Amino acid sequence: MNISLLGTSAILFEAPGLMDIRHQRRIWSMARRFSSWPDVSEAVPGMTNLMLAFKQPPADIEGLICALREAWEQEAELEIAGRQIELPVTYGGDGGPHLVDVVAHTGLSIDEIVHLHAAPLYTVYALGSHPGYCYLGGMDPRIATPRRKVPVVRLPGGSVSIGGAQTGVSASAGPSGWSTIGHTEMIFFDSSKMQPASFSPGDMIRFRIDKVIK
Amino acid sequence: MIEILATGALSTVQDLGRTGSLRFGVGTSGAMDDLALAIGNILLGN
Repeated sequence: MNISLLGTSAILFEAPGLMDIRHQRRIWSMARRFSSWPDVSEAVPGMTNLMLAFKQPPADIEGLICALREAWEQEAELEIAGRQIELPVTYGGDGGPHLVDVVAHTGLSIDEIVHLHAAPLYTVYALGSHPGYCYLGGMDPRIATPRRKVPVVRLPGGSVSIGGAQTGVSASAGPSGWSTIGHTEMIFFDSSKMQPASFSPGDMIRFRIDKVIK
Repeated sequence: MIEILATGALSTVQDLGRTGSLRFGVGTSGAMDDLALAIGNILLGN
């Protein structure tokens, strides 16, 4: 494990081992535990990591590090009964300009990639990167594709992309270093709502093949 | 009033930032020197 200070008022705990659901459930459990600490303003789960933000710079950093280590060793997995949402995806075409790059990297056909991508029920591990964006776990490693050497400056919201062993859907327009294989329509973030993000950790996403453009 | 016609990856408009929404993917952001921002706004009559 790795614990590092982020400036004077936040700390990052990075869990050891694989980026899998069992580790992530322990991270969720730790987030719940530490969010009730009086000095913690926010406990933010990431991909098998946890960031604690503090109201004031913490006085006892050593004690905090010990508490994080102990929590990781002792924490039970937190099962979240999330919602299940289906997102229809148009694979390839203008909305999936890098599908050909995933073909070139994996050696699989477009149909094979699309079916492998749409097969799993993905779990929202954490939110981050930009408002409402969901980090998903559960992608088939056979379609893993390294991040792009040159990022794309502007991709539209709803872009379905693969980056390394992960996949996700951009919640709004912005730059990205991932390979975009398709497009879906979904509102991920509404700043007028008290609960502005449409998804929470533990929710499940299934991609439905709406169309494949070759 | 400022009308924004187009943005690039590195152009931002900063206020004093916002806390408490990191778990929704909303960064704290805000001016690096919030005192200077506040004084500047007072000088400009905002």
